[in-house]
Amino acid sequence: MDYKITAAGGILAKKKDEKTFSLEHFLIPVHELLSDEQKKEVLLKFNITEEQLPKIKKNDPGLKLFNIKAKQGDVIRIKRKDPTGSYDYYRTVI
Amino acid sequence: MRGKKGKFIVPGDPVGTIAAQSLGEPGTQMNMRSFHYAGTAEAVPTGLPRVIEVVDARRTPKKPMMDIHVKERYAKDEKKVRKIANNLEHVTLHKIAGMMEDFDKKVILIRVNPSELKRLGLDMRLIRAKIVEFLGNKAKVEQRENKVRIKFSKKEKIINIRKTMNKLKLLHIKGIPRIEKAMIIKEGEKYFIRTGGSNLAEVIKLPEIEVGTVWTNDIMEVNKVFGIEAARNAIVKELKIIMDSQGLPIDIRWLLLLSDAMCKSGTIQAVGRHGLSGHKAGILARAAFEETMKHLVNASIKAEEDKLSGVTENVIIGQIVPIGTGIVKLKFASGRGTQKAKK
Repeated sequence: MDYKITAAGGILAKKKDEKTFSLEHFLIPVHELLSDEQKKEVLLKFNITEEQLPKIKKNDPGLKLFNIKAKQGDVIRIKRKDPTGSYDYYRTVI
Repeated sequence: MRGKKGKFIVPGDPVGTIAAQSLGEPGTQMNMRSFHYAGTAEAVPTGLPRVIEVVDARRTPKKPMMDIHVKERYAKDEKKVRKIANNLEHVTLHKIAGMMEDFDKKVILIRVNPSELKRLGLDMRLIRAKIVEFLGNKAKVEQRENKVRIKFSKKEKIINIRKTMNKLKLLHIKGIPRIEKAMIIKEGEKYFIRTGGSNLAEVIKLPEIEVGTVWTNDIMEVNKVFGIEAARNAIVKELKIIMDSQGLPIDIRWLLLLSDAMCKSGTIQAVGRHGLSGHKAGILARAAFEETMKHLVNASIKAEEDKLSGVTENVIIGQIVPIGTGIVKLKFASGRGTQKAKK
């Protein structure tokens, strides 16, 4: 399946017969790829190296859903919405 | 962590240990063998067996199931929902037909149950077409009413007939593979579908269903289709449901911590020697848990180094453990101190 992000932030998945449908699922939080500057900022904020962050696989379907083409060493920001509140979580691509 | 009364968790608190205790103690009160029969004839494990399933990161749950909500405009229409549910159910040939092989005449006889045909809204021509497509030019297919006769050549080996028979039994007629049952359940005025068996990747492609609320209890499948973050959320939700069903009040933060730990490596790791505990950084910490010799021998072969930074390591060698006030270290600023002393 191919996926596309709509302007509203929802995700569109393309079926084989080219019909699109939205895939906004309650389990999937928003993933964002950080630029190099943002990445440095984050690592400085926590005073850690990128190896100390939790990991995410390069071929993770979550990245594919948001059309992120990540390479090894990139940092992904995940906007989590937990029962305890909303916050950002970070993962390094491996 | 901040609360109304200030900070509940301070730096150095052994949150992992507290989480383990907070989950372990209610675990002793849970039912050892409990199931729920939510609309299905099958017993789905809840309580302790299900917790173990989730925490051990089993490849498939014992009884996979899905909750599928249909789009708002269909939800109150029982007939429509039932029709969608029927289309979900995986139908193979042997489920709707009696099958027999005759080795003398080199023939396979299939008698399709007419009532099943009617229930599923199927046509004999479709079934015939499916069989023909499957067989290709291996054999001749004759169909009369609800009977299908597959004639092999006289020279065909018996073993090949049996092999074809076994494959024919599992011939896909209709529905989504791995979804064994689909029944509809009334909730208020609305209906939703609960299935035995789970196939997330295929179900989310269906146009009639509400994609955003599809739920499966197969966490590995969530990981495969939606990714690690969704799987982590699924673990939290699953554990919370179990704890609530058992009437055990547990703070959700401990579940969040546990699921974060399970998903930190990018895949779902089990809690145990093949997962989290077996992949700890410290050699002594690993050796202290299980398979002591294995870890010590492997570490010595590779000349690994133990920084003695964890709790277990320091307990073993009898130092102050780095928890609470033990995490604070004193640093001596030599330059400034001596100058002040001189003055």
